Amino acid sequence: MNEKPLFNFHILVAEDDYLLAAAVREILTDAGAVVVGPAPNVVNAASLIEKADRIDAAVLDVNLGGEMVYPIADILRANQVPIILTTGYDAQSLKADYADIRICEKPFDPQQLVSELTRLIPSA
Amino acid sequence: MTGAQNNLDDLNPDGGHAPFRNDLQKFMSRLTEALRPLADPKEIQTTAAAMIGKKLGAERSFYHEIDEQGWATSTNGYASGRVDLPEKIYLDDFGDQWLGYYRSGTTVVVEDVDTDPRFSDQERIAWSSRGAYACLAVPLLKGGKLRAILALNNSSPRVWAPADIALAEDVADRTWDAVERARADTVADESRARLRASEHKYRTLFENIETGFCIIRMKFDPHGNAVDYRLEEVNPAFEKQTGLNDVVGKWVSNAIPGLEQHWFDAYGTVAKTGKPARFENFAEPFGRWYDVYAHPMGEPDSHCVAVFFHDVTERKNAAAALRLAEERQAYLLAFSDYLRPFGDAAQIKMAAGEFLGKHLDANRVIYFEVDGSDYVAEGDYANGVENVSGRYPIESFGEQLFETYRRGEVAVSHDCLSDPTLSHAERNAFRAVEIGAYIGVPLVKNDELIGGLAVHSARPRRWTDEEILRVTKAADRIWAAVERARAEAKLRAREAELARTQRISGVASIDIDVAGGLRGVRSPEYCLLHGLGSQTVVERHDEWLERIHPDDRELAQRTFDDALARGDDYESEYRIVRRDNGETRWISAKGVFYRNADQEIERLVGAHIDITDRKRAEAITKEAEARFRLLVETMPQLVWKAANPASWVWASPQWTEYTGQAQADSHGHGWLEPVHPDDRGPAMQAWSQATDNGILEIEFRLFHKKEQRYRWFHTRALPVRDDGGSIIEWVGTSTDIDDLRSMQDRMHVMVAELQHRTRNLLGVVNATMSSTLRDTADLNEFSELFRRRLHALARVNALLSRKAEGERVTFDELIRMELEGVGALDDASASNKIDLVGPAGVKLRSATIQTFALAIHELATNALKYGALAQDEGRLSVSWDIRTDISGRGRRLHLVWHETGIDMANQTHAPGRGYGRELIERALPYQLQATTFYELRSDGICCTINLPLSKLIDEEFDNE
Repeated sequence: MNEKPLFNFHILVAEDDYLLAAAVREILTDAGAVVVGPAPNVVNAASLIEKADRIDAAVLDVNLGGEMVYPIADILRANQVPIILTTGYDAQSLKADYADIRICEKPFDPQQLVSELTRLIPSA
Repeated sequence: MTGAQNNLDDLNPDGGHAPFRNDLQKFMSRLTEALRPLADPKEIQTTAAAMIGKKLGAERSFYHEIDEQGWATSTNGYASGRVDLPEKIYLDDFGDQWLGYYRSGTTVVVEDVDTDPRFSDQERIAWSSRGAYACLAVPLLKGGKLRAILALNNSSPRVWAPADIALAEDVADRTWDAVERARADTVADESRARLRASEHKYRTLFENIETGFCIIRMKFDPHGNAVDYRLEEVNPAFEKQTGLNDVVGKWVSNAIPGLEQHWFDAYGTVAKTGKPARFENFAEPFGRWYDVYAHPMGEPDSHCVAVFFHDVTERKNAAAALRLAEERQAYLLAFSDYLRPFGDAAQIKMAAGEFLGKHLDANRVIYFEVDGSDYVAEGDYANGVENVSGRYPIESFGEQLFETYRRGEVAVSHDCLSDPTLSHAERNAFRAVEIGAYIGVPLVKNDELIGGLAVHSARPRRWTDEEILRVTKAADRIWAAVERARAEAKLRAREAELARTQRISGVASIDIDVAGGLRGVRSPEYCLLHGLGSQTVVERHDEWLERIHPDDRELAQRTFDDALARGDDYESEYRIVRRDNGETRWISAKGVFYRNADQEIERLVGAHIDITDRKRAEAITKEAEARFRLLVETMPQLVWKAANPASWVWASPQWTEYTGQAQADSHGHGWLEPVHPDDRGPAMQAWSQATDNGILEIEFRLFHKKEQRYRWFHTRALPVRDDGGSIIEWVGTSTDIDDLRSMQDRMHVMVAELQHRTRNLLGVVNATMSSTLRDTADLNEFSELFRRRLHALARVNALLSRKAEGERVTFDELIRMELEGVGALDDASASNKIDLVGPAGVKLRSATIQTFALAIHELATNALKYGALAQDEGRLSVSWDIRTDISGRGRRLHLVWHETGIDMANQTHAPGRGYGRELIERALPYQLQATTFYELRSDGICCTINLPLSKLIDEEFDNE
């Protein structure tokens, strides 16, 4: 068995800032995950979901270049895909409907992100 | 006229034949029979004309009467039906020829108009058109004048026999006579009827008039003096008014014994002179007054007089009673006047007794008053008898008199010494005090005998009803006067007491003698208040006026005069200037007017109170109120008051101006109406806790009428408490905080944005650090590169933060900033190598700038360290322009960074270039949907960046 905690888990990343997206991708890749994306906007994220064979979890920036990521979150939730929302805003500023979703406030610790994901994905 | 003179016998073949004659005679007697009972001339004429017409076989027969105007009127007769009966014909219509016959009394006989040579053609047409081809017409002349015509017509020619003509003439005469007789009878009947009616009218009048009527015949003695008269005729009213029956034909001396001579004289004069007379006289035998109208009647020597009269006794009595009542009234008035000046009860009694005693010529007058079981008489009037003033037991009246008094009845005795109803002892008692006759009037008030008035005569005396009445009336007046005097005495005593009280309590009383020229008695307290010293003074009205503050003087005077004119309560407030020290004091004056018995105002009594302190307090309050009002109406807040929680009683004008709700509509819970429906519940909730909290504080939205939208208000109210701490009312303000709230909302957004940006920036710094670590070999290199990149980040963030909201960073700003930032523009040699070609003012999307700036920064750093700006021959050209994207909707910035003249040897390792390329080749396409091209040419780098400027065209640039 591979020691990497997220080995072979397919994780969707949506983050509009390239540098941050790159950083997340690196963290997850290092943890053994297969990164789906990253997607810089809602349209891109939606098409990735459509094309993907599987998505085990998702790390979504709440604000994608001015667009809210909620439609993507809705699709994933409907498919019981665990989600972590990342945001530069206060956690309280999120819509009440998404209060049950795990939040990582930026800037976040890479290790924290990985362990959160490990906890969320049932078989991880 | 043919055969008009012919004898009937000559024409008839059977002339002189008895049966024929007999027939005519029969006809005439039948005619007479028929006409006799008829009274109506018209009926007579009709009957006669019809009979002769039928007898002679005429188709038409009629009897004309001729009037004065020449009209043949009242045409009566019969027509067989083939021709009509003319109603009215004008005589001239007959034509002169024919009228001539008529007027001369000649009977006209025409047998055939066509053959009769007397007719002109015109006449023939006229006659035949009337249906008269044959005609027999008998004129009747009376007094030489044509008065009637009896005419018979046939519509075809015929023969008129001489006997026919004679018969017609006979009938005409007979008809005339019958008509005349009937008319005469009628006139006679009418005059008889008139006479009957006149007689009837006279009788009716005579029988029914209310006025007594008689016809008398006078009897004179040889000297011509009237000594008696006989009643010739009397009407029913006579009997009614005199009470005498069956007197017709009797002499008055017998019928009415004792009738005064003046009656005979009066009627005698009328009979002798023939002149009517009218007079009023008293008739002793009847004991009544009569109003009489006597008129001479018949021939003078018949000595007849018609007398009309009626009984005026009632009227005479009423007039006498009225005169008596007037006299009594005058007496009572004189009595009251006499008593008025006396102010003391004892004096009044004495004066009344004297007045009454003299007026009635009585010997004694006693006014007594019941006191317990006694009665007290004081101040008796006694004239020629002993004065009996003193106290006596009521029992001494005797039971009979006492009972009479108790019932409130007047006791009268004309002769008590021979009064059979009195006992011997009682008579002796009367005799002892010399009472021969008396009138006793009790005074009963509230069913109780309280006193009385007795008038005595030493001798028996027949008291008249009037005297008794006058004593009765006097009793009441004495009582009223005595009571008034006692009340006034009490009042005086009370006033004296009041004055003492005032002196003690310091009330400044006023007492103005209105009747005596408005002179005022000023009490010592008044004098102290007005600065007049400390002793009572008497002042004139104008002295008081002078002391009043000039500003108040006119009003004070008017108030006083008005009250005096109305005569009701006097109330006034004014300032005075104290005489001693010139100090101004406020006075409240109140008083009432007192009147005398004639309701004339005599005095004004009242008090002055010093209200200076109250007035000062009022002035301060008024000023405070004015200040409050000014504040409330000018402050920008809406101010209101509530009596109970949530129940408004007042709102400032601003409330109405702001919400458009009328002041009155805001009262109670009305103020909730302009409150946003969603906020009404919370507002009432806040009020429910306000009393406990001691404050109301809430924010809600109010509808702004002008803007037609809701705006946020901060509402705050505090209770106003009385001295005991209970809440009297709430005063609240509502402040418009809508602008503040929207600013706060914006600030919340801005803070959130700032936080977001900062956190992202830290993420970018973190990522940059990781990349820089990967790109550099040692710490020196790292720190150098990382510092520069941090600087670039700092610069672009500084640039962003300098921009106000809505302002955009332009591309030329960004490129210059980066070139300056790396020091490329520091010296002329470097800056000469750079060509910047492109439009100014191309606005960039804020979200793109940071990454874009970092990319430019990498290009610039590289150029400075290794490229165009690092080598002598190197040149940098930065050119840009705006291009339309494929869709044609969006605009893109097309940027070409081109370095030339560079020796590219030894450039394989350029620390940091990897990061720069990653930004350009990956980050810009990823993040900004840019298309990039990065090429290391032999003489330098050529990099093309094509990125969208904005999502919509109109957001791109405003000032190209």
